[in-house]
Amino acid sequence: MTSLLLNGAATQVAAAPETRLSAALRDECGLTGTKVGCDAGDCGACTVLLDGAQVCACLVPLAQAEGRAVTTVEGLAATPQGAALQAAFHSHGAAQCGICTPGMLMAATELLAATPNPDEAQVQAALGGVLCRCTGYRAIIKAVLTLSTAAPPPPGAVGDSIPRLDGLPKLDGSERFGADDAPADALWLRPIRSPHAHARFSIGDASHLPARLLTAADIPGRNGFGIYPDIKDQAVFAEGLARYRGDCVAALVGERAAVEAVRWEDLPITWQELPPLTAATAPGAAPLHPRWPDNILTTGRLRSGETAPPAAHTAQGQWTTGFVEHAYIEPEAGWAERHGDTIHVHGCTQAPYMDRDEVAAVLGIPLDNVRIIPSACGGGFGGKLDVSFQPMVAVAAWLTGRPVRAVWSRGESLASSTKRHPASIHATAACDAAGRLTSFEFTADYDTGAYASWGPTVAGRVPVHCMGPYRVPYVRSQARAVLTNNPPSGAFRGFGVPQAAIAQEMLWDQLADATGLDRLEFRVLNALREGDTTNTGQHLRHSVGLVECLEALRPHWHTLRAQRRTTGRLRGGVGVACMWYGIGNTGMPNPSTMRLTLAPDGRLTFHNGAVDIGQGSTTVLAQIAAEALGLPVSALHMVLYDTALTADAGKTSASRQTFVSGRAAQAAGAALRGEILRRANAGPDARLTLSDGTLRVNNEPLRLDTTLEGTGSYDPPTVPLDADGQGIPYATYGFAAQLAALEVDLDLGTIHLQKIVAAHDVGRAINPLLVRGQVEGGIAQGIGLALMEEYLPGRTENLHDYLIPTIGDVPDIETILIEAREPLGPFGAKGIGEPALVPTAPAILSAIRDATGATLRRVPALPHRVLEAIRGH
Amino acid sequence: MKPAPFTYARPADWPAALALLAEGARPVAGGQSLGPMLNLRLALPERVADLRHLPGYAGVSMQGETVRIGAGTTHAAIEDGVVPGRLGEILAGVARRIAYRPVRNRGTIGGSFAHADPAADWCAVLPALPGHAIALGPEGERRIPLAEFVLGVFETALRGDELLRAIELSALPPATHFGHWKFCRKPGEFSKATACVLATPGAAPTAVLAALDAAPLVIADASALLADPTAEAARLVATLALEDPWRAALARTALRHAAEAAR
Ligand SMILES: Cc1cc2nc3c(=O)[nH]c(=O)nc-3n(C[C@H](O)[C@H](O)[C@H](O)COP(=O)(O)OP(=O)(O)OC[C@H]3O[C@@H](n4cnc5c(N)ncnc54)[C@H](O)[C@@H]3O)c2cc1C
Ligand code: FES
Ligand code: FES
Repeated sequence: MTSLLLNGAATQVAAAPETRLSAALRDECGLTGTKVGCDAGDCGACTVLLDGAQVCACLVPLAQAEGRAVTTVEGLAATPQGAALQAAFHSHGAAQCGICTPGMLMAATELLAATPNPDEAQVQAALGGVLCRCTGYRAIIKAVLTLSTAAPPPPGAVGDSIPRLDGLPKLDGSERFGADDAPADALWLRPIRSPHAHARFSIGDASHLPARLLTAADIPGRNGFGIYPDIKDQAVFAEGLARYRGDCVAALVGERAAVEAVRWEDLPITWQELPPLTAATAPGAAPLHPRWPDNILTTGRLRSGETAPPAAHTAQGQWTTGFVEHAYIEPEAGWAERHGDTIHVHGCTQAPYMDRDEVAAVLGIPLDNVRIIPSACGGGFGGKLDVSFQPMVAVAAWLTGRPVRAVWSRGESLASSTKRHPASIHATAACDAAGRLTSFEFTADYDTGAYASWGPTVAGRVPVHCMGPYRVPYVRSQARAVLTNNPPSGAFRGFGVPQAAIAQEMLWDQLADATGLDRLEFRVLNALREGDTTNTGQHLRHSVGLVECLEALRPHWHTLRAQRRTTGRLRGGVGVACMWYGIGNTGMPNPSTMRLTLAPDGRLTFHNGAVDIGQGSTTVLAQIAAEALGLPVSALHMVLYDTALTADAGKTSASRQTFVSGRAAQAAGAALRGEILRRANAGPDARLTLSDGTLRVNNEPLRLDTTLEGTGSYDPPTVPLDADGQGIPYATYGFAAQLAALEVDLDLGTIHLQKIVAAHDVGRAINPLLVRGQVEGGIAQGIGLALMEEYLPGRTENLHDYLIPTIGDVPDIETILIEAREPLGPFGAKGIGEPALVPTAPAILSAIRDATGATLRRVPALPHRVLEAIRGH
Repeated sequence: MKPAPFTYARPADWPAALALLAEGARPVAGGQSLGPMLNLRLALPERVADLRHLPGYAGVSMQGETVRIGAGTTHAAIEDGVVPGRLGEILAGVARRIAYRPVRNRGTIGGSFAHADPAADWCAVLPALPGHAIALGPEGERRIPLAEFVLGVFETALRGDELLRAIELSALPPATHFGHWKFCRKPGEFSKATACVLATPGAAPTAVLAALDAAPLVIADASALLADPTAEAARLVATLALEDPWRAALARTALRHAAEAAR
């Protein structure tokens, strides 16, 4: 028995003395507000106060807390300062997905106790041990610095910066993420994964183990999953052949202690290592899957223009990028329970409807017998679109009849989850003497790893986007997704476009210099404008705000360039880059349906199936629905994403929820409003109010005998691409331009970022606070892509070798919102989730070139690569 | 993953701690290095002996001109100034830059030195300072000069039956110059190159170059480095024959910056 003073109350904890404090708090005391993201001191999600001092609870054995005061996020609201901190986080949008928030709050509490009025450097130092993957940290710093000045929020009309409606549970520890909730009697599932990139294996008799070993033979239905209806190439449990390090070959299921006690050597698995396929496209290379004999999963192409106009200048180059990990702070986690012939699967996901289809097929049961109940999702960024634990816990619960839960460790999450595709790009561009682009040719191989995942989507999106948002009369582009024995590359914020944007923007810098044009003016000159036709043959009638973005950056460009140091060891540089991004699926249907109901007792309910993974769709869609209906957001009750309770709103990806689901929400609001007005016999401008359960139309009470309903669906109008990449791939596009100012240390090759200015055309900012949060978070991920992140299988399977930006790595960010209204979008809105990340890396590389003259050919721009580039220049 | 099962012992006094050690128990102090190793099953001890509660394990005492720092003194306590005088200022400056505050709140100077991670901050600084590591074994205390304590990567002069009891340092005059430079790719990360130079009035200057994936390079007389930092840094690093040119550049830069700051 260990006694603690836990959040002010004397508490006895029965766990063994060596139990980690984080585990004791979560498993024994039920205080799941303390999160676990790594168990190694790297992420800070488990930060609590021990006698007022912040510590990683994963590195404190329970016995060391004997007799001490332990404060967790659950105890924070009891102090005025804690409550003020929570309020400040809420009003500044400092919690997006919320998984890092408890740790951030605890670290800030220690700081403020000793230093009530800290400066920015002190905040960065005190919170430096806690990682956040969503916010880019700027809102967190602001919240800690400006505790007392939280102004009351506006009512929540479209265009109002209201704090997120689902925000409060993220601040007091009550939010339930995938690992926070499961029946007490749940069995534990532990996947067994290949330690080899390529190996044959056989599994012998497992009857000596104290737990059941599930293998491919136990799958009742189809032992395969995958994003595409016709590509189910990834097995739940591999059958005799492991194709990447991390491939799952079996799973132990049983009582937790028994499952965890099984040592690797006890497993009856024999491995025969095979040479991993690295040069997969070499002639004669053995195929990874018989279905793709040349290891080429898909090739996307675009041909536009018959001949290139005469050119005065050409530029060309090659670029390579590495694997990038999503590094959501919440590793994959969830649980399943069988109810008769139905299975319920709970846990973190970005795509509940796709999960339902996969689970049904793997179990071999009808769709209606599967219910997916998403937990809060501690970050996704594309990595939680593919199933992970879902089919495994479903099979285990189905077979054992007991609830079964699973929580991936950080190492396992890193090894097994999808990655951003490494790209190997060759591109050539040309312009005339005046700097007008004449041609662009692009070929790229994207390493799609061992399984298809989203490879075809990436190969489809890249050729369409790779020339960027510019007028180019002649384009030839091709992107191949190539299979290798690497981790599967999947969806990651931008679907291959961020890699392509690096090549495109670096070439523009070279051409601008060749023509003697200012780099920003070169982009203005060539930018797409309303009325232009894209290289897929799409006529852009509306909402092309790129020139406005660049014009908004121009004064910053001149100021930052004038300020930069051009002599000495630290050399200043300013870079610029643009992007465009098609909102929604590429030339494929992607409908969403939203529903509003008004019951006779006046209860107004918004049934919203769009998963909020921290980006804020729950808030934004409610603002849209309420505005269309004509009632305040505060009148809405919410029923959120649950495949049994809400209609299909598609997946949370491709920056589509604001645009596609938003249009559906707007239609649902309008439909319910129409129904109300018809019953009240009122005109279109009638004023609705709802109070004390009574709906009033122009102040006249309207009595209802049945529940009224408004349903709205939307599927953006697209035309599939033909073999030359011609068609209407997206109904609308987001546009952006960003500036990066930095200094390069010429001795060490290190980069110090000074400022990023981001101008984004979002059509309409439904909630500017949340839009800014997406921009800042996207930029932080762009910084990681540009400067530090590179996943190496087997070598960076933790968060101290795999570095992501910390609170000290993200500079001041100024966000400028441009609103070139999109008539198709809800109240003119488009999307922002992915666009924010795309221009950051090219802008940083452009700035490095400005500072040093050196063009980086390989990202991330690690210091030794920067030095090599400078020396080779 | 949970650590593999082990038993946890909390010895009440030093003899009990030494007895546990003799039975094969693994000592734990702040747990900031051992904890991750246990959690990830990189260390699989059957028994762990928690040193934190031992009498006099943490804290600082003065005996004349000698400052005795208990091995269990945390980085945070040193950062916050438990060590007095010029020496305290120098140590606080080093402590402040170790990892992040939560790690500093738990991690100890003794645990860090005994662990002898080649990139650890104390291993890169203590060998430059005049003083001794105090080892406690079955026969009592033994004094090991600080410059001779770290022998290699995760290897020290401590014997298997000894614990690190304290660090004893000489107080430093106010006019002491100290230069310290380290390179981390991100704030709080383990260093990729660390150097320090100590110039005490009336004594030969000393220097250490560390984070080399090897034992630290201790320079007992760093006069030449102080006289010409660039040339001497280049000469010293050349003797190491480092394979990676970037790491060599970092090492040169570290020595040069530390020397320039100590002048
Ligand atoms: C995320 C993270 C980042 C870090 N970054 C840095 C950094 O930048 N720089 C840095 O220097 N350190 C860093 N550390 C390590 C940290 O400073 C540790 O606190 C320190 O290295 C070990 O001290 P400890 O008291 O925690 O020792 P423990 O983890 O308790 O023990 C470490 C080892 O020493 C042994 N040991 C402990 N005490 C004694 C003793 N008295 N006698 C004999 N053997 C003993 C233990 O058996 C164990 O093998 C980091 C740690 C983490 C988790
Ligand atoms: S879980 Fe403790 S630091 Fe990551
Ligand atoms: S809000 Fe910080 S990790 Fe999601």
